[in-house]
Amino acid sequence: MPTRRPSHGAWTLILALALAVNAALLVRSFGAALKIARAAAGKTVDAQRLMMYGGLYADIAALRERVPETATLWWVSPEYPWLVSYFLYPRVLRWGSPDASARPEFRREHPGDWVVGFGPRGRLWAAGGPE
Amino acid sequence: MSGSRLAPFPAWVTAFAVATVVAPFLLFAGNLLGLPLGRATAGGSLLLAVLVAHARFGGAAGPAPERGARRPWSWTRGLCLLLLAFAAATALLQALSLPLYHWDALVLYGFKAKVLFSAGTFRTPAFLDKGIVSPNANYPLLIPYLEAGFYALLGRVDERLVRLIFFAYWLAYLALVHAELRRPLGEDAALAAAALLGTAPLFFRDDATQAVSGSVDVAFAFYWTGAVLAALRAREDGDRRGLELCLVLVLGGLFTKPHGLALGLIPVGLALSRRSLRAHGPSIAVFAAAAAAWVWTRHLLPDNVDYVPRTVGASMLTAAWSRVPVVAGAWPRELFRRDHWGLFWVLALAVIAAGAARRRLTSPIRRILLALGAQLLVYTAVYLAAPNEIGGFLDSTLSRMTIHLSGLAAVAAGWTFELL
Repeated sequence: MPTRRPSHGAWTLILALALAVNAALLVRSFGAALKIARAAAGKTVDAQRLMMYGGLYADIAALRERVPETATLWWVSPEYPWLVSYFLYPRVLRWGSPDASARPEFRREHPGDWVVGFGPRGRLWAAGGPE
Repeated sequence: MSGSRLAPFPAWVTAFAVATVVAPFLLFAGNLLGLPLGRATAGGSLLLAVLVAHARFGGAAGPAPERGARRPWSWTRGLCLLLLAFAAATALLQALSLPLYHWDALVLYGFKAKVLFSAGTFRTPAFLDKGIVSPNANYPLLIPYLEAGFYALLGRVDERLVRLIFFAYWLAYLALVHAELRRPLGEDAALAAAALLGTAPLFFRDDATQAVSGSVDVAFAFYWTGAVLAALRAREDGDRRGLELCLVLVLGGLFTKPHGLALGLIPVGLALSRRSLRAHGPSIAVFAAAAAAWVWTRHLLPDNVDYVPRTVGASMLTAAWSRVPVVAGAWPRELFRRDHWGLFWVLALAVIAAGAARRRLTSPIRRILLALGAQLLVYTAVYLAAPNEIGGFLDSTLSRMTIHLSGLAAVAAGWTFELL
């Protein structure tokens, strides 16, 4: 017994509907992209980063001002420092300890280096450099 | 199905595929031999890669499509082109208005690219010293080398312009699917299918799935889809270019994502035969040597990848078993998410199901479905075995994994549609 099957016309209709759904969602994405582009226009890359990451990037940028590119920093904090390591490069960020209370010890053991980690309310904390 | 149905890739897609694999690999090989990455080596490797593409694959453009190709204009074609142009404009706007900022783009790839550009090599403490914060130092380096080569040619790090590389991958991915469907379906339907894939909402979300986010998933999908299609062509036609292109694309996949190594065995298995091993031994040896060089180097780099279990024991198997319903339910939820895929998967799966019900699935279609099934199994196994908290892991990765499946699904659905 022959089976019933949808005609190519029916498939075409579904394809057209699927394209219309995508087109509608694309208009929304374009609108969002336009809004971001307008907000970012004319800003420096640093200002755009600040716009996207807020306080964290402000802390990292401030740290970059203080720490020379040749410096070594020790990460002493329980959180992972992935974004921090990206933005601090070429400064060398070394794994210190996940225990924030070990910071004084690290400062004593590595005079001249920097000790860095997250402080209260997620702000970046840093201390060190040449005495 | 005769071999003639399997269209060779468009010349520019082949050149793009070969250049984006060979140039980073030459830079990597240069580093192994002590040659640093710089403007001269970046330019030289790109030139050499283009020459290789021309010498080995030049003139591989296929014959004209059979159906509907000569029609100069149709509303369908016009509307699809308009939609694709609108999608391209959206992607370019996203790429050029902000520097790279998505997590993986910076942490996994951007960091390595900055190190490669600045130090000129991966043989530096940022990669080799386990004491230095370097996220997943042993992660594949194709995209970081491409980005670093781009920076070297530019003479500076530009995290905005570098996003154009990812735009090119998105375009090449769509061109690949379009070319594969053009012969059996004709220009209009092939363009409509490419537009349906290319305008899938997740490619334009503010997420790592975004085509120009700087994540490597569209690039990986391009290599994987191309490798399987080239393998089918090599199998059908015994074609030297099909086999070599397949091997180059497999190399691209394993140098782009860690699971590219396991998945690469599928197209290699499809493409190789005793006859091809005898006939194309030198090409296969070059491919094997290049793959081995990366796999060995990766083995030497520090490993802090957190999704691979360290030990396999009874507790891990029990945990994996308890995850089966979660992972099995997550796949269909993702595939049918309208804000990610629109109706792409509904349509693709319905067409394939209709073809299966009417016993119209030819052997190349079945082979594609086999490759997709194996891919699904590999990903599911990773989700079951990973030590991560499964809910968060699925949320942050599953949508990107479905991108890898989408090109082959579109081709399988298109080929099936012709037979309905």
